[in-house]
Amino acid sequence: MEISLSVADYFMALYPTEQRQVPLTTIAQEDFKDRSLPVTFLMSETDYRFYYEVLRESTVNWSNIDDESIITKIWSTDLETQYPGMYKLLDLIVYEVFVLDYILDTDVTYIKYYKSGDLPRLRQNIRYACDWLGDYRAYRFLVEYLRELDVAVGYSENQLGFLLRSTDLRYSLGKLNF
Amino acid sequence: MSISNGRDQLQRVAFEMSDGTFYKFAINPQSITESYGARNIFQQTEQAIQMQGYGQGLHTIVISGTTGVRSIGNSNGTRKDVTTGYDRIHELRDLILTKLNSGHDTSSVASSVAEGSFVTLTFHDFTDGNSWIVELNTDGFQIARDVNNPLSYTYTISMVVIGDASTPATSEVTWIELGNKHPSLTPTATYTGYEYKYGKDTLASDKFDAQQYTASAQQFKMSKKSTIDNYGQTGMYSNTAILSPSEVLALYKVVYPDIISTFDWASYVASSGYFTRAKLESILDYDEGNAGDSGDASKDLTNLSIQQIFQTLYGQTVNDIDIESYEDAEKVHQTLYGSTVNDLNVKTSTSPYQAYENGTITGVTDYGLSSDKSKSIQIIPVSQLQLAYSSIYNSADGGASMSDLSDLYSLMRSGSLANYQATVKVDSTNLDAATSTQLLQMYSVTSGQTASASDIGNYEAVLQVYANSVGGVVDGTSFLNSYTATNSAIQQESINANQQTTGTSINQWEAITDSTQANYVQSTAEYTNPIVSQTAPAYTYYTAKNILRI
Repeated sequence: MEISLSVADYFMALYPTEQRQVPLTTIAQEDFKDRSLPVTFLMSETDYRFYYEVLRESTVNWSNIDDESIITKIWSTDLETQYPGMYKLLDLIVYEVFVLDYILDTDVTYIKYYKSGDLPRLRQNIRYACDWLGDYRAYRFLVEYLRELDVAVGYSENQLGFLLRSTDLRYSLGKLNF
Repeated sequence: MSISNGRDQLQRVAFEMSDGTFYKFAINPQSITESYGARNIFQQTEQAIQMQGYGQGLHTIVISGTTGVRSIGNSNGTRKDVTTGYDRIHELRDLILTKLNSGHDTSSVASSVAEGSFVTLTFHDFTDGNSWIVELNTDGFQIARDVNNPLSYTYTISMVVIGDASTPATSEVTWIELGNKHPSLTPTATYTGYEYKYGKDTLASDKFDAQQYTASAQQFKMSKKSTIDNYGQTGMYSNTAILSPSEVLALYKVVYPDIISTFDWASYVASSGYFTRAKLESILDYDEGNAGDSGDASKDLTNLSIQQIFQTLYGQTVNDIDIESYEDAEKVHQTLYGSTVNDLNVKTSTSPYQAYENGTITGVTDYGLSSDKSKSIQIIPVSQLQLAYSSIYNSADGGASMSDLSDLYSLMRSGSLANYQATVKVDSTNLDAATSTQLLQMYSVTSGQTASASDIGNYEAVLQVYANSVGGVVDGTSFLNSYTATNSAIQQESINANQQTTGTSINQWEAITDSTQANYVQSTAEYTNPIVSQTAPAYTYYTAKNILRI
């Protein structure tokens, strides 16, 4: 896989532990104190494997990211300095969606590591992020993109059983002309 | 593009005549007015306004400015030997008058051209990068002097654009057409239905065209694409960056079916990642020492293997399968997917079945055949059940993943080991009766048609809950009881290893052949694969890709 260096850096910053947890600093944890909604800084096994088997082994280039990319939009805010915890959560969300896209697009073998709770957890995180970002006028514009991601992941969540049953995903999706 | 000497650029206007005269304005005009007329006619009727448009009208340019001041005489009364505005305005006037007098309608243009007297005037606007062939408008050329500003000459030139200077004039264009425009011979036939598909010679035959395939593969190699994902399909290729470990493993099995008899697949798969990382293109000498060892050459790929490899890699994206190599392809498929092959032709399926009947091959127990005899014999190896048991109960993260369960399922379905029931009857050194019963139940839960894919999902969830409730230590019997108690579907199906003798319902795990159809399954009262399943992954893919844009 070839990936932009800045994107690789962005994803690499997650540093999952062996328990697949994404560690947070004390300051970062402050961002999630006063909310009762659950947020989980846990990677699925798919994402964990992808992190070490694909992402860290990928070749990088120096291309710029598209201005319309959600990553650029996140970087355009001051989330990284003001709310590092939320910044990390968005990092995790984008990473997990990226991995899902990679599976559908490039390497279907990783799909078998998904467990039934993985995509619902990702969606819960997305909803949490929407709820959180919606409270700030400066970050509110991110919500619409996250909502679209929520729906997109939801489609796959409902079809995960089907995808897992497929012995050959390319065949199952063949009519889509990927 | 303005005129340039390589270092500086001229940002002004100039006149050029076809006789070679080039008049550069030393001082830019003080105003340039460019107007594009519109040949629109408006009829103001009572109810509405009607417009008739004929496009662009006259394109006129009016420039006005001054050429500078008149010269001042020196003490001797003679003019300084410099070019002054006075000189320039005369030069400009001469140019314009030469142009105006060069062509008259009383003399034909052709004769004027022949005489060399007719000149065209080009107006260069270097600032805007335009050059126009112009004629003087009826206003023509005006020079004005004013008592308020006695030293400067101001001019106004009004021009009509008659063409773009970058295109040749009508007189310079030939309309002669070489060759036959309407040949008398019958037109050459063209293959309207011919559509070249990569790797497939549609005209010659529907067979796989290895030559074209290697050609296109070479093309991709040149373009640094590692492999082709959707070979043979319409649309552009999409590339897969690297082979996944499972693909490498499958490939390896095709190439070396017999060379290496005992082979550590697990470590090979693990190490295959290093091969791809190192960008090595060959896996020929894996575990065989260095390249150049004796025997390496004999393991080179033959041309005949290409299609097999191809089919292994790309599975069912191949449109046409060569029947002769189908036997081998079937072996590949069987190796890859265990006994989940459910579409076999009669010819190839009877041989393993007969082999089973003769007892020469113990491995083929339930090869997806429709025969009652084969289905009634479900053989479960003890070691596999032990593996299953430990895999599920000792899993560190509190539950078997879907991957574990599917692997387990494949292992059990392949049935390549000893007879479980026979072992239990004869030898109970490994397991007591209660445990064996329990394992049997485990088997029926985790495999076969007694549990669908969704049941396994439930199973996993229940297992998770149960493991949490007892602090991570799971007792098999009590768990199974609780599981069957909470899952009536399993209960109803009366956990039974011989349940598969019914063999009527579609095995969820084998439903791949129906995956793009919406089959209504009467027994479960649901569609095997709803229509939405065809588009849902695509929706996910495109939406996410559009937002991420990585």
